Formats: sequence, C-alpha cells, structure tokens
Amino acid sequence: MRGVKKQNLPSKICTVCGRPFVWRKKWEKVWQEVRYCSERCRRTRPPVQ
Amino acid sequence: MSEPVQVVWFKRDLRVDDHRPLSEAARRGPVLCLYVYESELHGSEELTAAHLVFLKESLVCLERSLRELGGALVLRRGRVVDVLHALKRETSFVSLWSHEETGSDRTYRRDREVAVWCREQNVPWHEFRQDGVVRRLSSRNGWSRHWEEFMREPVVPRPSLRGVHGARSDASLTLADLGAPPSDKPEAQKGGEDKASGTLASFLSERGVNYRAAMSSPVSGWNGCSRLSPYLAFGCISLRTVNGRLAARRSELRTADADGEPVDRRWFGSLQSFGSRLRWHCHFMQKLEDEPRIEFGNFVRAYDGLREEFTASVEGRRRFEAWKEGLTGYPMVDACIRCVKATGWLNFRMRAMLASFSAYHLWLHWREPAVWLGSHFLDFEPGIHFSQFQMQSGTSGINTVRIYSPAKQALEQDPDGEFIRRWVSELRAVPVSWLSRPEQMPAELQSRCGCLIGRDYPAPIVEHAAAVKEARDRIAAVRRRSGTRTEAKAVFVRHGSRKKSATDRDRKNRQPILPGLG
Repeated sequence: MRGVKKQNLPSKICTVCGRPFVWRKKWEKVWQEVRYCSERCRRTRPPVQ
Repeated sequence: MSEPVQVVWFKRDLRVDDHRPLSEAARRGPVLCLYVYESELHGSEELTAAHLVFLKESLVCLERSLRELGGALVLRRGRVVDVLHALKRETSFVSLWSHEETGSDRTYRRDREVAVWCREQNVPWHEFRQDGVVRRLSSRNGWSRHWEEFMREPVVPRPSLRGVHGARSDASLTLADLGAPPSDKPEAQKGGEDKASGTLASFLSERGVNYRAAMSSPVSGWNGCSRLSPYLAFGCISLRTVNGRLAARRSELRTADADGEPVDRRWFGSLQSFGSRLRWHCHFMQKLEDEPRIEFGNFVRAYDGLREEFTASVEGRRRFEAWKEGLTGYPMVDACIRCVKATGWLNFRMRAMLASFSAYHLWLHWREPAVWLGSHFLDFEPGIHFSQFQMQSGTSGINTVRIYSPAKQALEQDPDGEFIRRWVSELRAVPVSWLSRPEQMPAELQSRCGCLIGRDYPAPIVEHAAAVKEARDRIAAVRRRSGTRTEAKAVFVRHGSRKKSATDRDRKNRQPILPGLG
C-alpha cells in the first residue's frame, strides 16, 4: 500500500460489530482473511454451536 | 361404426418423447389424447395454484407438440371414470393407454376406480412403466438390476398420430379458458417439455460442473443443482432420457480427457453424484409403491404414539404455526421456509434440515409438516417426499438418527449470510458473525442494527442443545426395545437399499445386518 493515500486505503465491515475498518500495515500479508476490526471483536464473536 | 379409438390418458407424463403408451396406441389406430382436470385432485393440497400454473404451461407445450404430430389434446373436467364413460358414449373407444403412476392415496384410489370401470366395460387398460419403479415387486434383492435394464432400453421416439373427429374438450375447458389461477410463487420454474429439455442441456453442458460441492448450499445449489425435479414430477422429461443424456455426456468427457483435451476434473465426480441421485429417485418412490400406507403412518409402528399427543397440544400447535410462518428464531430454518414458499424449490440438504427441525427440535409428528411442505414443493413427488420425511424424523427404523444444527448449516452453507439476508429481511443489518444465532447479539448491537430480538425477530422457539438431547433420548428409548429392532429388520428386508456403504465394505468381518443379506 506504499504510496496510497490514507483516505484511499481498502476497508472492510467487521463481521462482529458491523462497523467499517481500514487496512493496516500489520495485515498486509493476510488482508484477505481479516474478519474482525479489533481484538475485542475477535474475542466477543459468538461461539459456534 | 367408425374406426376403433385408442384413448391415451396423460397423467404425470406430459411429454411426447419417450412416451410408450402414446406410441403403442398410435400404432393401433386413431388416438384420443386426454387430460382430466379432476375435481378431487386439482386444487387439493398436492396440486395448489403454483402447481396448476406449471401444469398449464406443460399442457400448452404438450398440445402444441401433439398438434404437430397430427393429434389433439382433449381436456375434460370431472371424475376420471365419469369422463371415460362419457367418451365411451361419444366415440368408439376400445382401449385405454397410460403410464403407471406411483402417486398419493388420492391418485391410487382413482386408479383403482378406473381399473374397476375398465373391467366392467370390457376396456383393456394398458399401463407402462415410466421409471425405475417396479410394480408388484416381489423382493428388493436385485432391484438395481431392474433399474439398469429399464434405463438401458432405447428412448421411444415420438410417433405420428391420427386424430379423432368428434371428441372435443368440455365447452368450458379449453387451454385458453383455463387461465392460470393466481400463483403465490412468482419465482417458480416454468413448465413444459421444451423447458425440461433446455434445463437438462444447460446442466450437462455448464451448470453441473461443480454439482458435487454446490448441491449442499441453497446459494450455490440454485444454479448448481440440476433443477429437473418439477419436470420429472410432472413427466415433462423421462428419467430414461435424463439418464441417457447423462451417460452420453460422461463418455464425451472421458473421450475428450483421453484425447488430452482440457477437461475440468470436477465434472467426473459431479456427474457420478448426479447419476446416484437418479437411482435414489426411484429407490425412494419404490417404497411408496410397495407400501402405500407410509403416506400416513410410520414405517416402524413402534414409533406410533411418540409425538402425536405433543403435536396436538397448544404448544405443539404454536410451534407448527411458527415453523410454517418462518418465525422460529432460527434464521436458516426461517430463510428456507420463506424461500420455498416464494419459489417452490429448495436444495435437498435444506429440505432435510426443515424436516429434521420439525421432528426433533419441535417434536412434531411428520405427517402435517410433510403435507404442508409438499404443497409448497413445486416438484412434490409423494414417494420421495414421505419416505424422506420419515427418514429425517427417525421413524423409518433403518437410518441413523441425523439431527441437523441450523446454526452449523448457516455457517457452512451460507457463510456470507447472502441467503439468510435475502429471505429474512429483519436480519439484513445484522453483522454476519451473528446471523446464525442473532439472539446472542449484545443488547447494544441489537439496537444499533435495528433488530431487537423478541421485537423485530423472535428468540429461538426452543433451545437447541436441550431440545436435541431430549429428542435423541426419546428416540433411543424406543429404538432400544426389542420389538422395534424386529420391526426395523422387517422394514430393511422390504425397503432397504442392498448397496453396501463404503464403511460396510471396509469392515470385512462385520456381522451382516441379516443373515444372507449382509
């Protein structure tokens, strides 16, 4: 994402809280698999039955 | 006296290709092609408005084809025996031709009336097999050989016809007059032999490539399943034609592969899976053919009385209503119910889940849910439907109890929530992680996405784990009784598939289920 303006970074909707979140450098290799916006959302996802 | 007239009675075989009664009758002289709108059948729960629309579309196509061949379609209304009696007065009607039908009790009773009339009137009734179902089958041993032999016979070409002068449709009953009753299923498939043939062609040339993987999900199954079921149910295409084109396609793919042409490998497994299902189609219908009472009562009578009282109770009634409305609080169940009400179709896995949910989670006897769901399946096929409903309810005695988790099905078959959001609009704004179990959403999230559980969408009607455990225990208690086991063995002898499953083959030293049958 070098050279991409911050407001033009890709974004996703968090599958837990439903809010949009923006690409971060630490996700550059796994962006496709990222589902949650935060550690908190990852932890509060409902258990699989 | 004018030339003797052959009456071909069209029932669940609305086509001209591979129609043996039609071609046999045509060899013997002028043919009167008859379709009867039966007062007791058309408009009943097994032929509702959506079915009648499909039926009309199929009849329009059939009439055109018959006219091209030199014949005509005569439509009459009433009881079949009365119609036949009238035709006998109007024409020199000498014999009756039709396919064998493995239908509901209504059609079975009607056929017996027709048989009595034919005997009394000295009119021979020539009935022909139209699929792998064998009439008066003495034993299930070797059944699949009968299936293979029937499917290997060549497809019967469409005959040329000589029409009959004088016999007309009822004055009030031309196809144009029939109109079509307002259907509650605007998205239902369209009837007709031409549509059937096109559907098969697109499946075998393109849509079927990923069948094996696509069929389990209601999302990918929409296009990835064959979608031939209503055409097979109304006989717009014969099973032999389907099987023949399948075989041709498989050998075409094998040849192409051997010649080094690029072939998508998924075709091989997919077409093999599809072929198995063509056999299962007849395997399940054979059960109703052999034992018509399974439309009403349990295969294994030891299960009689297990759910009846609860089903009739106030709570039982409440649960049945919620299930029919798609308001159980289980999004995958509710989405499936609403989908089938709007479109008349659902993939097999989801049908099984609906049956299992009503029988185990809701503890409802299968009979009412089966009749209701059947009235919404455009492809309602009594033999498959009632055998399957019993199997998914645990009353067949010969199948492992399989209880689907709607939440698991949602996660696996609708991972993006596309299907649930389409049919359960209350949940449209719910983030996908909660879609399988929206009641688990924190209160703050519920209000933020405008879906309060209990106000906008119901809480689960029963608690999954507790309901499943209770159902399992109750079924197991009956299953353990020695009388149940004896009965189940008898059901296996009469109806069970003789094909060994992969696990049976692996365990070579396993005791056979029954001595000599194994």
